[in-house]
Amino acid sequence: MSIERTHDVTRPGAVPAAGRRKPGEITRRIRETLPFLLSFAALFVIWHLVSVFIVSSVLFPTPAAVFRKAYELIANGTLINHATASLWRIALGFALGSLMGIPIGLIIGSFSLARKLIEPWTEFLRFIPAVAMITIAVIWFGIGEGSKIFLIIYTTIFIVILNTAAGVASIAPNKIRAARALGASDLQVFFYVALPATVPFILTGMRLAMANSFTTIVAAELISANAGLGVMLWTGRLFMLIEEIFVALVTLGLLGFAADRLFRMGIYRFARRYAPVA
Amino acid sequence: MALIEFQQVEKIYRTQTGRSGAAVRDFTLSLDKEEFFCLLGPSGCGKTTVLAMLAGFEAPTDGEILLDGKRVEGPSRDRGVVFQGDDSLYPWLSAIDNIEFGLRLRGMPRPERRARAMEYLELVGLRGQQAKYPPELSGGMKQRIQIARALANEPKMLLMDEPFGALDAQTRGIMQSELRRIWQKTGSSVFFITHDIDEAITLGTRVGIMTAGPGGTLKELITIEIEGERSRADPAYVRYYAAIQEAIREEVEKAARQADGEAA
Repeated sequence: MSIERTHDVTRPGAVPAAGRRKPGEITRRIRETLPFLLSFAALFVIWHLVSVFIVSSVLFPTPAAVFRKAYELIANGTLINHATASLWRIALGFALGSLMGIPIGLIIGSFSLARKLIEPWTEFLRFIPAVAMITIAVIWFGIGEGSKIFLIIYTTIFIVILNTAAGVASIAPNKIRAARALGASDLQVFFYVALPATVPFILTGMRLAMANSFTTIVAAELISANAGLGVMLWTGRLFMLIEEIFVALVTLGLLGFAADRLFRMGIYRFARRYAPVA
Repeated sequence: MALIEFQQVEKIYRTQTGRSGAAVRDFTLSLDKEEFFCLLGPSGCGKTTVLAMLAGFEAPTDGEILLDGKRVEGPSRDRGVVFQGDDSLYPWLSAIDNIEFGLRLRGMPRPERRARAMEYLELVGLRGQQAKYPPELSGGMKQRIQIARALANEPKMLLMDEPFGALDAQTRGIMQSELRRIWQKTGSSVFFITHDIDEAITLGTRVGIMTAGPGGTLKELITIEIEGERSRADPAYVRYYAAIQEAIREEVEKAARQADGEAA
């Protein structure tokens, strides 16, 4: 038997391209966010081109006109007023809906009897869209805040329940067995294993619910409200204020986008370990 | 008194079609303290079921398992378990927090449990890796964490279900000699499941061979009497290997004939 040495590992300088400088932190950040910003800018450029050269109608204002209008509405306080009205409803309903949905989902996922008892309700109700509930919500809770909060809770809760329950059901059995073999009681298994293992699913459910909340709030405000982005759209339609309608639409897009980003940032900052993919 | 006694243990599973089949039958075995017992058998012979019953995850349908003369009823911290896959680790906890998990469950004060966990982290050769999270660790490192987690809890015995089965051959070899070193240092009692003959001879003080499943039982017990490090070049090793291989081959062939019979 002969063993031949094919590579002289002791030769100095064998490490290729050592000492090459990495690009700086700032350059790296710019390089990462640049396509993102460009794509955003392109949206407005294309919009401008289409409204000036292709459609060219008063019914399709240019971005510049819309931004001018937005500035005006911000200056006189109207836009802020409407936007905060909508956001406040979403925040409250979303928080309440999640707070109710998480424990229900955990119970459904943990106990098969609870699943059998509660699932017919959730499976029935979640197919009735919140939008279809607007009329009844207004009859029950009036045209004030009550009906809006109810609708946001309604649109949030089922999606959170469903995701939470699915999360509990998908915990690897070995995680629970390992805890038991280390001496965990039922309660400890729940709080130290089942709950943290379910966090990524809960967060996913909440993110989806957030998107639904935006849809629902606009629909609810279109039907009946004193303030809100939906109201802006409705009055814009009544008085043919095309530019105001566009301001409301752009605001909705930006707010939804910002809310989702904030949520993802929150996950990344506080719950990264629980949700490595988010 | 023996540490563990299996007394004519039997496990019958009821399938969804209502047919019941035996996974393990008439399994009798006693294990002493500080023994490194390897249970060897072809796949499907029921060796994992034996471990699940010893761990207390599943109850025998007949017979009983005694630990220090007391009947085993459900899992408890005197039997630490190391699983084959890495899905038993908690990805939201760092390496050191995973090792501390059992100590935290029983309310040990933080400085004390941290100190003990660091000892075991060092024992499994992962010094400096305490702040990493399971997804950042390699397969071999994750198994080391599992071993440290089980040992830090100071169980009466360690149950291992093909813990190195998912590792590449290089890493497996390293892990085997590491485990042997840890076993020699801590004097733990180990119940180890494998289908790898080399692994059984390298690690075990005694090897049990199971008959082919379904409804496997213990066929042969072989005591490995090789002093010190075990080397494949050792003539004694070769003899053990041949003997065990022969016993296993009969079982594998029997299983194949059964499968053919059912197919025909």
